[in-house]
Amino acid sequence: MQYDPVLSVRNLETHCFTPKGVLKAVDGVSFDLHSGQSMGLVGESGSGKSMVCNSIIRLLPRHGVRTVGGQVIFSGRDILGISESEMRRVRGREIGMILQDPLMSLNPVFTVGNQVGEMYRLHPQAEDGRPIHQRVLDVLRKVAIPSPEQRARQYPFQFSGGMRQRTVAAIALAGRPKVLIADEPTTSLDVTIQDQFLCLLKELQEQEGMCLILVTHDLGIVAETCDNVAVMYAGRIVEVGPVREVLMRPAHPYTEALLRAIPKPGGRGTRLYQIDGEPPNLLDPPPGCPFQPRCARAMPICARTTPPMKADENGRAAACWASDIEEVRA
Amino acid sequence: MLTFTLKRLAIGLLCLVGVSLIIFVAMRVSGDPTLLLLPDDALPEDRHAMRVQLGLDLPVPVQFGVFLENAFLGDFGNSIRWKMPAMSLVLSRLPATLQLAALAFLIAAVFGLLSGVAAARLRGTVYDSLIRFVMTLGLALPVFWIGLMLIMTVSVNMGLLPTSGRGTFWHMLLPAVTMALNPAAALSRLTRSSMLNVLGTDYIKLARVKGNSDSRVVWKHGLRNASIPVVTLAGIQLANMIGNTVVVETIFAWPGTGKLIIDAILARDFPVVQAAICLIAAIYIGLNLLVDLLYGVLDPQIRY
Amino acid sequence: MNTVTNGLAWARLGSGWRRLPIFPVILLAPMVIFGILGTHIAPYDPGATNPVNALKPPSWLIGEGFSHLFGTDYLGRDVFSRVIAGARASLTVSVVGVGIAGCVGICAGLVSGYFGGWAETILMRLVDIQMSMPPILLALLLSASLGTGLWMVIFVVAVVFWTNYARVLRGEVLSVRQRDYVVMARVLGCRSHTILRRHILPNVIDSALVVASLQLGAAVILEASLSFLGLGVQPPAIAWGKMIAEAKLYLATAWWLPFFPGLALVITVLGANMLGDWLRDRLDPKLRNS
Ligand SMILES: Nc1ncnc2c1ncn2[C@@H]1O[C@H](COP(=O)(O)OP(=O)(O)OP(=O)(O)O)[C@@H](O)[C@H]1O
Ligand SMILES: [Mg+2]
Repeated sequence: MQYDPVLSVRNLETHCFTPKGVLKAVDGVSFDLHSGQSMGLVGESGSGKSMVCNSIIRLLPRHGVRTVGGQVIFSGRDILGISESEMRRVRGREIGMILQDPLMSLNPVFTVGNQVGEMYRLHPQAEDGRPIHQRVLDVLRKVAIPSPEQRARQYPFQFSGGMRQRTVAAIALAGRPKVLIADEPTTSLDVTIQDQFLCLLKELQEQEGMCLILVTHDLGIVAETCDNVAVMYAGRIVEVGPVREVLMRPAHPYTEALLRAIPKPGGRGTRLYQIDGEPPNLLDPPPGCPFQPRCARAMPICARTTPPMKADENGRAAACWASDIEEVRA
Repeated sequence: MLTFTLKRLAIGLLCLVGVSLIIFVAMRVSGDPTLLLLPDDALPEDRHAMRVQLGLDLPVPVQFGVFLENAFLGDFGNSIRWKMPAMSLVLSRLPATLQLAALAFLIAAVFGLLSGVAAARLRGTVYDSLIRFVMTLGLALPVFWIGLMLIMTVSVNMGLLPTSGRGTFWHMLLPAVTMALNPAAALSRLTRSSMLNVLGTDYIKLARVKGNSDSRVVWKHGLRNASIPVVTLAGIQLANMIGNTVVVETIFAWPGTGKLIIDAILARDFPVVQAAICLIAAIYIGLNLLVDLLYGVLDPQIRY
Repeated sequence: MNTVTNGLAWARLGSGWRRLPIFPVILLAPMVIFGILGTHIAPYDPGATNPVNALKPPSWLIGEGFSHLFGTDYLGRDVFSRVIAGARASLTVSVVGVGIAGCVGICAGLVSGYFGGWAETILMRLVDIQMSMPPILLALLLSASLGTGLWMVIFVVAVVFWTNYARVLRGEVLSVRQRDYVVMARVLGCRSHTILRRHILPNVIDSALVVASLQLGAAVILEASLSFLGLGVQPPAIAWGKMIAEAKLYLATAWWLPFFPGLALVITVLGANMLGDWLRDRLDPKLRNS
């Protein structure tokens, strides 16, 4: 990896300050994203995936949630440190985001064309002098919305769920961002439309040469769509690496457990594996490795000291005392 | 849209007939108008002649029919006190009332909206609590008391504004502020809660993700959605304001319909009361229709 | 059924000290005490005139201790005693009026929501008609034609306020009627009035309570406005609105005459409104925007 990463997240820490205490929703997350790469971010509900995304784009809830440490280095500068007005130029234009619920993320009182066009009005791109509505139609065509001239004049409530999702993607693409964050983009769509949308996303990502962060619960989706995968548990990344390797040879017991929880074709009748125990209470995390109370391979050291991230030369890393990763020392 | 409007107009007309019936019944119940029209020592024959002349010897349903027919022609009879057609008397006073209500509504809408949006944006801070407290208090202030207190402090003690009458803009200011207070408080509270609902939605988050500035997010993406419930309330408040002119015009001796109504009620000048209340009910119904039409403009999902 | 739903309603009020609406209670308690005990706790006879002592400012402002806390009026009557005595008319009219309106409105709402048909048409048209007139004008018209006096004012308040119950309750009944256990009861052949009493009423009574408490403050203001305009309770009964009206002539000289009765009015209305907000937030948050 001789090139500098497009996006580099270093020791990101985002805490929620609740009346019951400080909750470390993101607790020292680091990863790099190189040009054109796509990374899957997986983990149980509540593991902090959305929090990582929102911290990167700096759109956390106003009250009680704050990024308290770390860096997000994007094209050479730490965007956690820039002013709000500079950040506005990054949002949409440099880093785009697709929100979870397509049914809710379009404004009900403006036409679709207006909402897509707003991206061009907010971020005028010098290289393209064509009228805005032309460009709106182009981008709607790109996300495969049929008869865009007519559709652009309609309101979101006249669209189906899948079309709304593609409109949201069109809005993200309209800014031609270098990084696209998609936070569980397909959870509220039915399965056939899910696949369609993911294919579209993948295709567009390759066409435009964007980086993609794809948040999901579904390792199957990651396997089809992403180059790399990062597994999150209790606010930390416990394992990262190229998709094939991580899925074929998981180095962390949690990844292994996640893989076993996937129903296998032909495996009818066998009981679906479930991860024992409950996700940790982040207000009062267990000592040592957060996964240790649920881990089948727990050792005495696991309850005492948090395992460090061990990385090998292929970009694989895992935070587990029991992992067989050969650490390379710089 | 047209059919909807026509349908609503028809319903409004029906309501007007209902209102006239209420007024008619109220008038019948209140006693024999000849007692008011003629001196106490009038002869029974004269009284009877008067009753025949007024149509009071006819069966009651026929009387209502006649009343209705005349009412739709704008003829409510002559004012007992002013000896002139009741409707033209009411109409001559209407501009003063509308002028006052318009200014009051403008003040209420601007203050209510601005403070509500401000409170929503400052949610959780002391300013938010302060605005909410002031608005809760503002909602509890009776109009007539506020009017007197304003006259007492601003006009009498400080001598800043005239106490009563109609003339310059300055005459209008105190009564308008008095009338605007309650609606402003109500609008502010609803704007705040509605705006907070809207600001928590995903489409607002998407607007931020796109790179909109905070104020564009609130004013462009938030306000139009937030204003949908507010518009209903604004319609109700505007209509209530027209009712409240009765009180406010009395206090400030503002020569409008409201003052005319209360004077007519106290003097038992029923033709004037009827004419005025029918007219106000018509305005009221018209305003409600307007609000419904405005709804369609604000919310594209509503198609009539 | 009844106890279960009521128990739930009670549980939703919260637990411990939060079960008590602190601010509304602080504001309303003195008014309720004044209203019930009235002249028994007033320092002076509220009707007793004393021309020598007329138009005295509040005693604590002119160094005369606690003799006349709120000053005296143009006949030398003690304003504090009159404010205390005025609580009775205000509370009686608003509570009884809103109560009667509730009984009528709940019945109307139940009937029109449950049975539908011509009863619904007539009732709802009646509501529409009444709502095409500003409430204060309706009240004025009624007072002017029916006369004044305590019961007339109560009647007027009841007439003005029944429509809100009818509208809200009708909507509630329409939705409760669709629930499984009601449908089941009807399929099993329960009689209508049994269903209404056992299954529907307990489920909509919370909303009625919320509507009642939200209207209480408006009723207090309506009563005060009527008596301000000379169409409320008649002497010797004392009403705050009337006191404020009488003070109009003394605005330049005796600020305490309109100020204190108005303050009592504001405190009562504020307390009632806050109580309404509190109940609504706990029992029926969906009424928020209505
Ligand atoms: N405003 C907040 N205040 C307090 N805690 C919060 C807040 N928002 C999120 N959290 C906590 O932060 C943690 C991470 O939440 P996050 O939404 O990032 O999870 P997630 O991995 O995206 O889950 P899901 O898959 O369900 O979307 C959770 O434990 C959640 O309880
Ligand atoms: Mg999430």
